[in-house]
Amino acid sequence: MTHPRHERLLDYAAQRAKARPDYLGWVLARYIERERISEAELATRLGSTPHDLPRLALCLRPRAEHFADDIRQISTKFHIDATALAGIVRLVESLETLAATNPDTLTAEAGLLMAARARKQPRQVQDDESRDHDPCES
Amino acid sequence: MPLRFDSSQLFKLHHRLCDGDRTAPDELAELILESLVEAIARQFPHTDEQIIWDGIVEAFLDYCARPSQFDERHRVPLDRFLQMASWRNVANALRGETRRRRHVETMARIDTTAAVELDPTAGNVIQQEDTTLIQRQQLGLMNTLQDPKDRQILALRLQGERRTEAFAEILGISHLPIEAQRREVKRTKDRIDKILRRHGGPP
Repeated sequence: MTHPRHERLLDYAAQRAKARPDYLGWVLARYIERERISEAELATRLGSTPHDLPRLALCLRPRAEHFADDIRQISTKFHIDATALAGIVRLVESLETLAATNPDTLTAEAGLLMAARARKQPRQVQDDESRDHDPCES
Repeated sequence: MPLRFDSSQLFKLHHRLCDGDRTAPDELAELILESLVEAIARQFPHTDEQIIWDGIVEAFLDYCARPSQFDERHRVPLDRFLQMASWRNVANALRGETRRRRHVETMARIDTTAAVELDPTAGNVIQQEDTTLIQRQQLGLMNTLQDPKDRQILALRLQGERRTEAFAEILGISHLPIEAQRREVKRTKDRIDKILRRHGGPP
């Protein structure tokens, strides 16, 4: 049986991971912020439950050079939708790049980007697949 | 510390982290965080649980993000290494807390002195002059800086703030990786120190 303090500690660590760009928690927090959704909604989009989010947040962020492998590793372990996770990470990375190049235009461009993502999501996934291996592939 | 793991488990997780395993921090957290809390709480009895958790979690997240900072060749076990890093964080936080408290007390004393109805006595005049002198010095330092962000950063430093995130927020660089934040914050502080030195103020 899990000790309550043990759970609280994991939650606390996950909260702190949200402030660290090295962690997936940071990526998920930015996504929640941009999409203005709840954690429950995020969990649904990932095919997971809110209960699993703290553990997911403690994962290290996928590396650019091993993107597909890292996405696959995380999604396999947590039984989540790899395509959804890949899309979330890619979206946040795009916003991050935009913010680094021109913080002033972030809001406007982020809106455009989200609109584009909403329209072209299937194509974007295809692009990811051709660039990397398919994260869904077992 | 009552061990909930054996060293070979930690050893394996360390190697997984070094090999780029993205999911190892979750397993390591499960294994070690609670033991670290018990060990550090014993070293800092009567200390706020929040400070202890902060110190441990920051040490843990630091290590997982950069596992190479743990060098097995030093023959220090990983749990001991994390314990030492956590201890350092908590000790630093407590030192910062003491400094902040001392500053608040000083400011409160100054406020109290100012609030006292002044008799035309020499003692009160001297106290008032001291207060004015401190305020003038702080104001002088502030006026030396042109950039409002530099002023905010100096004000934070005068309050004893040391956390990179606090300064990064002012600089609007919280979105950057932590290493980049540290570099930028340090660069800004050095620049401010140089300006203050140039104008004869203390860095």
